Amino acid sequence: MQGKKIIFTISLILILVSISAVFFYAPVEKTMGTVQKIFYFHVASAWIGFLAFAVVFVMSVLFLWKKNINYDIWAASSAEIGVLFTTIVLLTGPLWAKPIWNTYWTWDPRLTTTLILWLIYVGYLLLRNMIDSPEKAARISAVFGIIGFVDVPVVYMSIRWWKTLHPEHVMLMGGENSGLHPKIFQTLMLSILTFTFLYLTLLLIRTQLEKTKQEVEFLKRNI
Amino acid sequence: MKNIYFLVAAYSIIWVVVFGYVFNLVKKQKGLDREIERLKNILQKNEKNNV
Repeated sequence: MQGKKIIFTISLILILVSISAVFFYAPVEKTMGTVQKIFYFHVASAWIGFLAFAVVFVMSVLFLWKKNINYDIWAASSAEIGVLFTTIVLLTGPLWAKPIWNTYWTWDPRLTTTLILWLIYVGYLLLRNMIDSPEKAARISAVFGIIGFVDVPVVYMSIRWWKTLHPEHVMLMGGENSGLHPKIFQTLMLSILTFTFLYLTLLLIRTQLEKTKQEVEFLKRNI
Repeated sequence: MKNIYFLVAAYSIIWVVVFGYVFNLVKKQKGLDREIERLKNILQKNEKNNV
């Protein structure tokens, strides 16, 4: 409980610090202007989408291997959060694209593969709700979670494999060749850290909810 | 400050979606906690009646 409170508090502080950094520390980009500031939380949301779906993959493998229902709870919770942040990516992307590309949406490889990724995990969540038996739902969705993860590297590599309008990868070291102003790079890293803590916070709340649901079911069976 | 509306819209969407989700989870958790209390009370009453 104490650990959870610490993570919640760190997340809230980081949210306030990163919003301040985006608006008061990071400089206005010369070509795109103020609208480029969408970049910080758009990229951080995409990172959380990838991280969440990677957790789904790992937890699904562990569930099929160990048959422990807790792994399924973590996988399902992570998938829901991944869909949430991929939704944010798909909503903020067009708002950034409109003033820069003069269109909200184009069937660009990066955009299309991201939409497919979102659809895969929406399908994963729908599938879980459609199957009545919890054991069967866990087993089938674990297989779905493993196969669905194949699209994550495709989304990531899409801007290298195909011609695309989407900006290229940001080099992780943020050196002279990264193409990013140091303050822009630092603000991006801070946003990614903030969203990682936000993900952990949401994951803890969501898994707790699922465990409470199971407790309710257990009590109902005993009445 | 050109295109500021797009920036405001993007940041509003992010925080409405995130805090809306958190609010929904907390609401569901409170509902389930109340349900657990109710079920535990029923179980206790049943046990007393059986004794």
